[in-house]
Amino acid sequence: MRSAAARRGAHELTMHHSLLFVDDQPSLLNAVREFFLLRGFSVDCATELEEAQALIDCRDYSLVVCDVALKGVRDAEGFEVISHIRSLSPQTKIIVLTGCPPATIVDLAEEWHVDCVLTKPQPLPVLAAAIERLLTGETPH
Amino acid sequence: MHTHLEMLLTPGSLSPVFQAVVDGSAYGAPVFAYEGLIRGPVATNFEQPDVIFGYVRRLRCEERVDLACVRAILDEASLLPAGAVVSIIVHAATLGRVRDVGDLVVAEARANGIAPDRIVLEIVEHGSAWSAPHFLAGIENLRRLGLRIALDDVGAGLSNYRMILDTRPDFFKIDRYVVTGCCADPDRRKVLVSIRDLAEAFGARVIAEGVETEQEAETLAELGIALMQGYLFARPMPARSQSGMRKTRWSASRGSCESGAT
Repeated sequence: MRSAAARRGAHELTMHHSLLFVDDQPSLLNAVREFFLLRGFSVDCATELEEAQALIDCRDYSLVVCDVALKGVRDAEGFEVISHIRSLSPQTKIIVLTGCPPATIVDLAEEWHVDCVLTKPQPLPVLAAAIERLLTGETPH
Repeated sequence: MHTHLEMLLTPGSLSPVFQAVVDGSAYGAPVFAYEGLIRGPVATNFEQPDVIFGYVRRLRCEERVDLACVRAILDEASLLPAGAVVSIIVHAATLGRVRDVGDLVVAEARANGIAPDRIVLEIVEHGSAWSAPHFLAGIENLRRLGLRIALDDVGAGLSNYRMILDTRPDFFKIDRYVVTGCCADPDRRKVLVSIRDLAEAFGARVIAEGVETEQEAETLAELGIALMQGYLFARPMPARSQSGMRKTRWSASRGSCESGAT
């Protein structure tokens, strides 16, 4: 069981952070939205490239979790989202959550200074741990 | 497939609200016009208009959503106080891509009992691709039809001298970036005076956007900028809530807070 101080620390972590999840699977987005809202984060979700870019233009995000393939497995529109974030908000943390083998995107991930690459599927607590590590400045495992 | 675009174009998806433009220099700050603004579906990313228009600009389909907004606003504008002037934002790209924007606006207005001379089209430019000859012909058509023209966001973005020359606007709407804090910033006041003088040289009037404090309103009135829009006077509200008896707390002519009616 977590101590009161740890719970307070977790609350302080989440209350100031807004997250954007970009994925073309609405069912996945519904699940992450509910999970991270319950943890106290502010959460936006986008299913389309242009929707994600418009949100990034209008709002500040602490961290963005982005799929690579937004139109199907051969597409890499997610990197257009990532390049847009990097041009506007270099300090925003980025996690790529992808169904592609990590080796196929490692060069692009390095080029755009992606902070973490995770492969689908990931249990939500694992994703949450990666997010919290990045937001507290810890190096992800 | 852009499912959100289809959602936005579904009838009833876009909800208009109206924000008063007032004469902030006159007692009671009487309403000069109502700007029609759009809200997207509640509890979606598109509830916020900046996201709607950021999205459609990226899809390069401003004209489809602009015309849907015009229809939604004019349908609702018939509920505004009788004789009210209505202003509606239209992208320059829409005028550059659709040849008969003016005719569509006038037809929609007449269907709602609104005369063309009660409509101001606020042209906003975001640098999308469009045809300059079509745009200029579209502007000419607006004038021929008796519609008035405002240039939006003057002093910021792409509302520059070329747009002033191309549109010859009846109104210069000064961007809130210039207005905010003008009471405490001599440089902002210099820019305001410059825009005011330029507008006067074109025979146009100036509207200051984003007026939120009494000090800003007082400064604008002192500079001879009477028409103002902002939360100090009114927040955007549905047409049916814009009664003839609008309460306001500001009267620059008295230099203090007052309560008045239009």
